[in-house]
Amino acid sequence: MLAFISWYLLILLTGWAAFPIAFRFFKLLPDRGFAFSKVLGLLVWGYGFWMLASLQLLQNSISAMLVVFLLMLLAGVLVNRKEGLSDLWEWVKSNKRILLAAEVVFLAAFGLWAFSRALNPEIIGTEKPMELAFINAILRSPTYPPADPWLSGYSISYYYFGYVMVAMLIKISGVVSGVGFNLAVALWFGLTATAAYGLIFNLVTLWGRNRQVADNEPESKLPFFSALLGPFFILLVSNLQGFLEMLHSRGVFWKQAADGTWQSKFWSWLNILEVNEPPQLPFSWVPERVNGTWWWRASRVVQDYDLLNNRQEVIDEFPFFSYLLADLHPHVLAMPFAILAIAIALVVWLQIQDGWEGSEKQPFFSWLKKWISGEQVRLDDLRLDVRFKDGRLVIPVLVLGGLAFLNTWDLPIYIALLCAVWALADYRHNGWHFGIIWNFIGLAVVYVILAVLFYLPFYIGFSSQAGGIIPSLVFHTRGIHFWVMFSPLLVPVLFLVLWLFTRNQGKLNLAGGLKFAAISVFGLWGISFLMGWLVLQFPTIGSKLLSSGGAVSTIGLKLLDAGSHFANLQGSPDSTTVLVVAFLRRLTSPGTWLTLFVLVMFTWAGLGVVRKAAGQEEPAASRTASIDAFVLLVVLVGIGLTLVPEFIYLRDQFGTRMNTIFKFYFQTWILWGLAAAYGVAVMSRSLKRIAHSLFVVVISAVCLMALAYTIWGVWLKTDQFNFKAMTLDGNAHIQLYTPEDWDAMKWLQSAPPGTLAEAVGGSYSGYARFSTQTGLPAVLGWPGHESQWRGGWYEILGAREADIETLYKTSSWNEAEAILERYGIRYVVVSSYEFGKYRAKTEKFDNFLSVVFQNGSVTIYEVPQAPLTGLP
Amino acid sequence: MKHRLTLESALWITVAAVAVLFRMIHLSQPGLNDSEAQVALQAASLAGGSTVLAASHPLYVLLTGAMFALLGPTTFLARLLPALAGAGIAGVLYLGRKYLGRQVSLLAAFLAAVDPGFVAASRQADSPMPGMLLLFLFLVLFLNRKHKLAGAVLGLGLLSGLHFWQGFVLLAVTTGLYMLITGRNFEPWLAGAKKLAAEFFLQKGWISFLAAILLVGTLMFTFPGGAGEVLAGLTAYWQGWGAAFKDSITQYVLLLPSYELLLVAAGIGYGIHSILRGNRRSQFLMLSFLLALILTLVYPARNVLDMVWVVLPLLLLASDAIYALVRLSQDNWLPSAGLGLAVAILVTFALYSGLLIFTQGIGGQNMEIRIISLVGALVVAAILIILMAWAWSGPTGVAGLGMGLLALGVCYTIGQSYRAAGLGAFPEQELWRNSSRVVHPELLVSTLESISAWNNGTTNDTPIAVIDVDSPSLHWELRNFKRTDFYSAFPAGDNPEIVITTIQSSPASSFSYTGQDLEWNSDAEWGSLTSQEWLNWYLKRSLPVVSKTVIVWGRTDIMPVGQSGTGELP
Repeated sequence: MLAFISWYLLILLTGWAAFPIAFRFFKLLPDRGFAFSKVLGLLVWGYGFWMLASLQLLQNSISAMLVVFLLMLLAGVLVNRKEGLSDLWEWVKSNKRILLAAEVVFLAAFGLWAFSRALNPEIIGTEKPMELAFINAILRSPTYPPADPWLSGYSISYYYFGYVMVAMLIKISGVVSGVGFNLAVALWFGLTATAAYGLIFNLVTLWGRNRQVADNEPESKLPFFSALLGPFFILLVSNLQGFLEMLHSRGVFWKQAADGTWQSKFWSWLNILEVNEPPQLPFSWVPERVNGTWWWRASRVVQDYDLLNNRQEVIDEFPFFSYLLADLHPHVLAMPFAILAIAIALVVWLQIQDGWEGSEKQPFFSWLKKWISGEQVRLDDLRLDVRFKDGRLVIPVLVLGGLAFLNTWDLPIYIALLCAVWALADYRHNGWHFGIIWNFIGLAVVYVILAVLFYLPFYIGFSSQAGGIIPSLVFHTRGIHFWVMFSPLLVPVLFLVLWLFTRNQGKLNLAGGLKFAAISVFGLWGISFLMGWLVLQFPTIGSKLLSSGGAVSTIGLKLLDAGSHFANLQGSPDSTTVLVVAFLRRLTSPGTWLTLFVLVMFTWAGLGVVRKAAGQEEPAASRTASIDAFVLLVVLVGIGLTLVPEFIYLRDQFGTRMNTIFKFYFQTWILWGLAAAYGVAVMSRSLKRIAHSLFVVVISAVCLMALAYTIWGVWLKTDQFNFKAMTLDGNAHIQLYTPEDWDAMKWLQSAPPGTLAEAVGGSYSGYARFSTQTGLPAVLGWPGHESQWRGGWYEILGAREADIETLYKTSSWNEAEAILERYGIRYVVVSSYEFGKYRAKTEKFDNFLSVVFQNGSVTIYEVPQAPLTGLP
Repeated sequence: MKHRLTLESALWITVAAVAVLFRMIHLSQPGLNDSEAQVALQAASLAGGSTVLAASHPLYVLLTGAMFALLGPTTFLARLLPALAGAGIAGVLYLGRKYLGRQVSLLAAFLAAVDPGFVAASRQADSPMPGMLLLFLFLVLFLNRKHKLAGAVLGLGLLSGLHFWQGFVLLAVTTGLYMLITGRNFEPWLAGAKKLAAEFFLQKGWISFLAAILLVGTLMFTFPGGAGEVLAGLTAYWQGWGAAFKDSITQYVLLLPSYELLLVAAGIGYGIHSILRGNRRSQFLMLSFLLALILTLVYPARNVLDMVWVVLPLLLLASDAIYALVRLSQDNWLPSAGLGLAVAILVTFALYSGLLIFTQGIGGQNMEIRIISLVGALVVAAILIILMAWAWSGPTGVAGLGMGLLALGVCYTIGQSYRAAGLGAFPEQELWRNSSRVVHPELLVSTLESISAWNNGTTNDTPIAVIDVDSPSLHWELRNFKRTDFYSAFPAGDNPEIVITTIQSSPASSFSYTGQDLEWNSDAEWGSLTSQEWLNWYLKRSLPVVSKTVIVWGRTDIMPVGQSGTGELP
């Protein structure tokens, strides 16, 4: 409880410390950015500390963190120096309800999820050990960049910004990392809920104010309750898999055949793994799975099959699943900041509404071109005062760069959104012209360059597994799976898009929408197939080049490899077969691309309202339209994220769509979740009579179905709300079931720093547990993950794995000593894992090393070290 | 224009000289104890190129580290900064004479120069004196509107660490509580503080504040991470509230009457007397004394040296008391002085008789004579006082008595100061230190140097293995030996030439070793003393002590053959 309170107070202080900055930047929003201040504060504080520590200007200490906190406070004062803080105080006094509402939402969400975590706190399974290892390594590192806990001698090569923030909170509050981990999960839930609440609050308030003026309506109440739809759709609503699991467990659509087996055409047609098999008897409404966990399937609804019907796993997580799993993965850690990025896009959209400043400023590249060519240009032409005013450049770049450092996949998505806002503004004022595309690209490049520069220390030493793009020929998402995944959001979004279209029908160009949809969908289709055909020719071309010799032969070999690999992935080396079958598959299973086609058509047409509304005599109507247009833009970006991976995906170590679908669908959920929340909020205020009733009924039905997973998931994971063993300590199970291991870990946590040798094993296992719990770097942790993070490095990792095996297995002290020296090992752990995997021979350790810890089956040896003082 | 040396200036110079003398003499004796060695080793590590500063006293580690880098790590340098800071308290009192009064500040400076607690605290490396000095120096400069200097001092004060915050919290709590209790209006005080703060910013005090942190904190940018530790003291202070109590409260409570008898008697006596007469300064100082005592005792991470915060208000009260005495005797100072001398001699005689009675017991030899001497001396003193009061005046009599007791008190204080500094016959029996006293470390060092010389002709280049001896002071003493390794168990397969172990263990080697035990440190078991033992300690400094012994082993093959048939180390 104390730990919870300390974290609550800490984040409360952080939010209030950052509010002066938010107050200036978000001045066009009704809540002045209060709902985002905690997230912004955490970002600014974390960034300041990380940057100064990375530049070796600060140590990794509480004092240094406090110094940066004070600097953040100072920044807030400086930002408000012209208007004075009294301005802010007056606003606070007259808008107490808004502040209180946001605080209540935060406390409720944080508290609720902390309670949930306390009922199932274990940090076990999936990638939780990896995340805990990062946190402990960051806590343990005296300086930055932090040491990689699973590859001694190297620093972390992963987007670890979120773990820096978590480690900061743990360090300042003084809680143990096992408790801090669970508090972080709950805190992020709270932050996401508050940010989502704030965004919908602002959107609906702006819409309401504009509509009140435009339609001469009575002043609308502030949408304190409607805004709750934001966290509802993003965080609580799940996909329909939970509802399907209920039906499946209840035996719905199952019939017993004459031979006694249970069969179902529906479930066979649906073909979602595990639920395509008969349910367990007796039937029950409570989802169950024989020898498994039913709730896992919701994140694996989509499946890919090659031509030979071999299955490729695809991940389709959504926020509630991620929080239920309680994996502090980058995509979870980035969530509140992604919503912050959307809020920033909204602010930028509002900023450029009334005064189109695009014409006053010289586009940057054009200015640069003139300067390089020697033409007379002035710095004033760039209007830096306008660009930097109220943090309008710094804040977005800080957030975007932060997103890249939190979860690199998010960077292009939110840059695209921000650039799309500028593009839409350009279109609104100047109509369509091709310069919009060039400006879009130019602005995106500027944002990318600035985002990288702001976070440069991260990029130095970071190696990625990403390696280009691959066409998706045979892999696509079945329509029914797409609808199972997204219908809780798709239904309200479709309603919104169609409603906006019908409201503005006279002003919109459906033909334009149709054209754009056709270009997008079929264009992508065409590009994908063209790329695919080309890659499938690589083996033929490569074979011909092989005989040439020299560098040409090397290129030929690479082409042959790439082409063969790609063909194997598809399931056939014959390009014609692949292309034809792929085409037929999409034709016979058009659900997804057709849905997206329709959505693109109406969304794109709907965006036209902003052009038609500009220049209207009633500016308020124009502003209402602009809010609608912003939301449609958000929908469009979401569409892009689901459409693109149908045809193209990013190449990584796995070579499949798995990660692309995972990252893109997750962001789509956020974007469409916000759009769905906005849609439900405004439509329930606008629709009348039968339309209103129908709308409510349909949405409620969909939401109820979607909540099935939420309810049963929590019920199961908390062991039916078993209060007996409530604790936030995620390591309590280690203390209970393997106390010897725990004692050894505690000893190592307070021992002097040094490299650790322990057994090496597979990912998602209990191997590398000592380095995970202590933050001390192991020679090698999970090799699979290290190779993912570093884009290979097979030779280095392979050698280390072999050396560790030799270290434990050999009887020769000389051989062992050489390995100890090679990696600078200080501690050698011998426990059940080492005995089990290597049948460790400990005589050499007994003879030549000191035993510094022994308890039951765990022994820790220490290699003699140099004198403790570095005296000259 | 030539400045004439006035009496006041001469006295101030004398006080400063006394302060420096009491702090510098034999500063490197005794060796650093564990608590001191911990911070000194951090400084040494920094001097050796470490890039990590993990200290609750960053300023000490940075500046001492710089000195070590230039001049080499020595015990003298390890204690130099606190010694200078302790002597500097006199300087603060000099600057603050406008607020205390010229005479009172001079008296306070003299008392600070010779006070046992202040002297002892100034002679230890992990001392609160830098924090105390910088806090009060900042206040004095700030009140005197020397904002640029004040800013720099504030920056250094924050860097000085935990003790600065201890003092700050005490001051803040005392001030707040004083205003609440006395019902004083906060408004004028707040307005004054705001005005001063505004001046501080306008006169660019904040620039010198930042400059001090950036320049000193980073050691002129050679250690960039140091500036970020400016709040390390606050963190350490805060974390101290969550620590566990490590020592007994008794030693804290008994420390005052044992060492600070003059201050306790004069300070508290005068304080009560003047409070009853509505003296606001005394009210504030008495409150400060009580709060300092409470805060020190309830603070879980307390240590004995923190009692200097309790001593400080007593010191100021005692100065006021002495000044009042001086004013009382102004008219008839000669008779008062004469009476004082007589009283001092008689009371000394009485005390001596009393001590003999106590040591020999009631049934001892010449007991009747002793008792008569004791009572008689006191009676004669009383008669003299009454006669003086009748012949001259009551105040003269009181002044005479006061002077006599004051003289005794000063002598007692100086004696206690000498002992508290660890220069007495039984330094391990003194309370004013944070951890066990190291006993003759030079003996260990010279032994090791001798063995090394026999081994390879150099005095510090022979491998030494220290097994399971967790003692920072031992680390410190072995700092100049180039090949020293510390192990938790004997390194199997290795046969170092010299091994140091605890008394329970021995080198587990196939080689033969010859050993010699040495007492490393000793301490009394303060927490478990009876009242009789406390009295014994008070009067005779005689207590059973617990020693930690180490054994120094030399490998037989490197020892000189036939030099000593007993096989003992020299």
